[in-house]
Amino acid sequence: MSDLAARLARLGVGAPAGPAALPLAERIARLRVRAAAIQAQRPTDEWLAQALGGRVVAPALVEVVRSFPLPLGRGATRIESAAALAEGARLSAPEHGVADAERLLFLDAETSGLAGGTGTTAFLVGLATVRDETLVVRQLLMTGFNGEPALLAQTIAAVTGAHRLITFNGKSFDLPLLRARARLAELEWPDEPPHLDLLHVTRRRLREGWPDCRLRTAEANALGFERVGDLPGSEVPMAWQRWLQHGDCAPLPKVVDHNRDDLRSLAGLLAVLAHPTRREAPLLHAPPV
Amino acid sequence: MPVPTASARELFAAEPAPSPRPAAQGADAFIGALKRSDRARIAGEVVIPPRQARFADFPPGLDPRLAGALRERGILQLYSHQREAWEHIAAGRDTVIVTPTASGKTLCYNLPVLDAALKTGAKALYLFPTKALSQDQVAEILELNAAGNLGVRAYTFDGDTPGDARKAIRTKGDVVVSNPDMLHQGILPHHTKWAQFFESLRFVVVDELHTYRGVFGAHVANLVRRLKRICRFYDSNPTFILCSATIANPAELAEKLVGGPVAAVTESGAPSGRKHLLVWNPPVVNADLGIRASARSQSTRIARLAVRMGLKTIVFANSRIEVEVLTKYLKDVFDRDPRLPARVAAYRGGYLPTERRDKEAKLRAGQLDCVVSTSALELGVDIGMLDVCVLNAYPGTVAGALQRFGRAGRRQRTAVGVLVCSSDPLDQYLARNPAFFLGASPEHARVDPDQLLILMDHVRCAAFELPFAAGERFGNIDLDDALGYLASQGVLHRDGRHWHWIADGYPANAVSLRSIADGNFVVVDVTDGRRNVLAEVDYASAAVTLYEGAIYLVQAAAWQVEKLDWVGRKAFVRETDADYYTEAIDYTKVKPLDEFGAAATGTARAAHGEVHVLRRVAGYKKIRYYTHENVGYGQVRLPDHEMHTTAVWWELSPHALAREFSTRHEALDGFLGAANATHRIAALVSLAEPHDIGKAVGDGGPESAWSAAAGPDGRAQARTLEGNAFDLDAGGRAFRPTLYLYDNFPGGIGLAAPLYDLRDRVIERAIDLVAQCPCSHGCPACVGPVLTTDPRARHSPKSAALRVLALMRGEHPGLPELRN
Repeated sequence: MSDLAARLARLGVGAPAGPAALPLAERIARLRVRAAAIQAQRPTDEWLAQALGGRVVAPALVEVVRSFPLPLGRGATRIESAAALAEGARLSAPEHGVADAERLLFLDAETSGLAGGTGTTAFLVGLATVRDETLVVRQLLMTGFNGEPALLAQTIAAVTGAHRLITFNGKSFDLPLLRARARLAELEWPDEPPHLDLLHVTRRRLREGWPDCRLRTAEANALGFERVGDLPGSEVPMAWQRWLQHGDCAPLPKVVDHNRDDLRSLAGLLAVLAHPTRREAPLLHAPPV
Repeated sequence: MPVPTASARELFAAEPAPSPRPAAQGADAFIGALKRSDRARIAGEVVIPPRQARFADFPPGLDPRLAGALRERGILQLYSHQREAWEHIAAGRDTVIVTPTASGKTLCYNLPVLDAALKTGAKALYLFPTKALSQDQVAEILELNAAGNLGVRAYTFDGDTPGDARKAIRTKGDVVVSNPDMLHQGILPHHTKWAQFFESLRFVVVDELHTYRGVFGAHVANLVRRLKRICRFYDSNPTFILCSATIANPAELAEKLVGGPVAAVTESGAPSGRKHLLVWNPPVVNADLGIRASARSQSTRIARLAVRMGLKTIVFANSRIEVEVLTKYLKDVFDRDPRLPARVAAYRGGYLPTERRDKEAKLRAGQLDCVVSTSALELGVDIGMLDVCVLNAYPGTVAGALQRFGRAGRRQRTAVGVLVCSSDPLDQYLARNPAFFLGASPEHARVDPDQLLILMDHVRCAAFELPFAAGERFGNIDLDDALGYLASQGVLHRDGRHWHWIADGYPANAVSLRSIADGNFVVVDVTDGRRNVLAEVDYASAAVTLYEGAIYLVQAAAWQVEKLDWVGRKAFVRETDADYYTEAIDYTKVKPLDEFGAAATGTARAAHGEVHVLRRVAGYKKIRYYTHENVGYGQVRLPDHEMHTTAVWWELSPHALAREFSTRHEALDGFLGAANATHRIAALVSLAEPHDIGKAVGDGGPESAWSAAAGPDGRAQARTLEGNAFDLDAGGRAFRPTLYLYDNFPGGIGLAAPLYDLRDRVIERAIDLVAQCPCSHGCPACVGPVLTTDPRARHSPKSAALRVLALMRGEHPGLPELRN
């Protein structure tokens, strides 16, 4: 029994809730035994990779790749071609001129929390690019903290090669978080290419009449796309905790799906933004595809 | 923003500034006049001789641009303590500077900081407790910048800093001026954004060190641990420069805060004029009841005389109401003609910044003859120097009183400081023991950086900021254990050698630097539709001081609690002029759990250690001022308060008890009285508020069967926790009355152990307090309210208390003569 736990228990911290509850020290001891058992039963990285349809690319790092040939339907709209995406990028930030479609990088991270600060981790980074008229969605999931340096290194490599970075709220959230994690891992973060944060762009060009500017709202209004059975963003941190603490991987496929959906909608939004007028944006009554 | 140019020259210039009046005579004549009319009221006086300046050259390596800037501002030499500080700091030693107000302490840190910034681009972090002081600091640096074209970038960074300015400050600021709360919530949890700053961080300056004691001090000490940890990550190892007001143990406090050895600079080389300090006790106006004239009447008299004699005067009062009343009295005398410019002004924190700047400027220019202020003018802000400083009642600490006195004193002139004692028992103790106050034996500031609950809060914050690695240390606990505990709570996950934060959330938001665990209560003044925060009261004291109906006193001003929102941690109070005060009727059961040390004499045993405290407030008494009659009761329904904490306690040997007291109740009277007196003294010597220390008298036996409290007649009663009377004399029971003084915070706060070490002195002083009290049989100033008097003096509560105290001292009572 730990001395510290005993002292804390005496100070009334971590006091048991009900009359039949155990003293704190004993609860900690039991948790340790259970944690060891969980570790023994925990799915391996290989097993998890297979369950997700991906593969292990580095210790504690799983990669899942999906390709979507263009044109790609998204709700009531279509991502017509690579050129459409490039045009969407140009119109959203004309000051940066013409963009090379195959050097666009869509990025979206799933994190352990929403409050920011150096204690928040990006455990899943989704990166989407266009190659030969195909939208390639590449997702990197770390299964433990020793996978983080590799996760960050791959992300850094992707960002380094890109001409445009496209995110949704990435300027305030995803990128500062990744920069912080890189600094903690003592990895050098590259100079970023021009960053198109579609939160700001859609707010500026499309937003009229929308209740708010969340990605879900933009999807529904600009793309006419409604998700079914999606994991709410607020449950993502819990999925990560459950995996780490209990080896429970059940929610992880849903996190991966959610992230993939986010990236495809991001691409869909950029395609919509290729049209120069605002009139075409709200598609509230268009039939689903 | 105040710009201290002219007075800075006056203070730092080697040549004396020309003075318009003959030096020193004004003040001497004033003292003479006071003595002629009211010598009996002067309870104590001391004359501090003038001190010549002691100079030193600029350090030889000082950057020439900086030397040029100093000369440009009229500074041709340093004071000895500024040079001394420079040498310590240049040698890389953490340093604490303890010199009085207006001694040029700012240059002690600005000089090495600016020098390093110029030579190597080194950066510095300044921590100040208030925004006004932070802004003054930046202004100072900008002055030097301007004078020497230095180009050093200094900025404040706090809650008010606009978002778009923050990035520039983080990446380009050379000197960042902030405060502990911002460092805790805004900077450390985002330290990667500050990477450039931390990589070049060479100095951390901490001002007003003496305020970092008790709960706040424990939090800030842990904040420093977190800061040092982050600096290590960025491979920097800054030198800490601390400044403190005069306390008894500045080096010790600094070392606790910084976690290592600290060099102390304590001899000021700044010149100071002669200082004449008086302790003034108002005359007795009702001898039967022992009532004295109000402090206010005396302060007005003294200030009036000073202003009439052409002396610039400041009067410090302890509350807004006092400031307003005193200002009115003085304006009635001096500002009767509205066509003439005002000679008297009031000053307090609540005024608009523009109004305050205006008054500060007028004071500096000599256009005001008298200012009446709250503690707002105690620190930093430049108002020039004055001739006379009157303290309307003791501000609570010697250190605070000395800082206020520091406002008076000009070169070539005598300054006068007068402490006017109020009827508060502490003031009266000082009136009878002026040496305690004048003899410059200031208090010891106590801090316990390893207070367990506070430490754990900061381990959480530190774990969020930067993953802990196996083998790291943080404070003096088993860190592995602590991290394991946090993992069991689901916030950390161990992966290989590191413990990572995995929870959602931002732990710094849940930690207030001024409270422990359950959260402080905020006292909100709702008089006349206001909503001002008057004070904060910690959780442990709330039930005893903030029940509905309670009279809540802030120094001499009174409010009544109208509504207590227990869950919301708020007490709503309204100003009152009720002629009574309230006292909670509480049953406190204290049970020792663990003894850390003990000492026995023939008659007594003292010990200290860990205790369990259970406190129940059953109701309260209303007690009329001066007569101390009980004029009513009230009910209180609040949750019991339970906690573990540290305490010091005394028991008497059964043999001594039996021999000395004819009845057990008499002994209990003595114990209650002794508890009252020792509690007062304990707070005094610990630089603590009285409610930081709890007192209790109870059964020291294994069952802790009873506790003692004063009954309606003022005599002691033994009761069980349910409030039922306990029969002390029932067949064959052992009688082990024990006096407890405990830290009133869960987990303790570091007061009990030093009190145990000082126990002999505490008992001595308590004996003095009781023996010297002019009351006949006991009063709130010494042993507590006593209502019935027993003509047989031997059985008065006062004599009983003296006998208990003498036995605690370890002797048989051969008492000092009772004063009456």
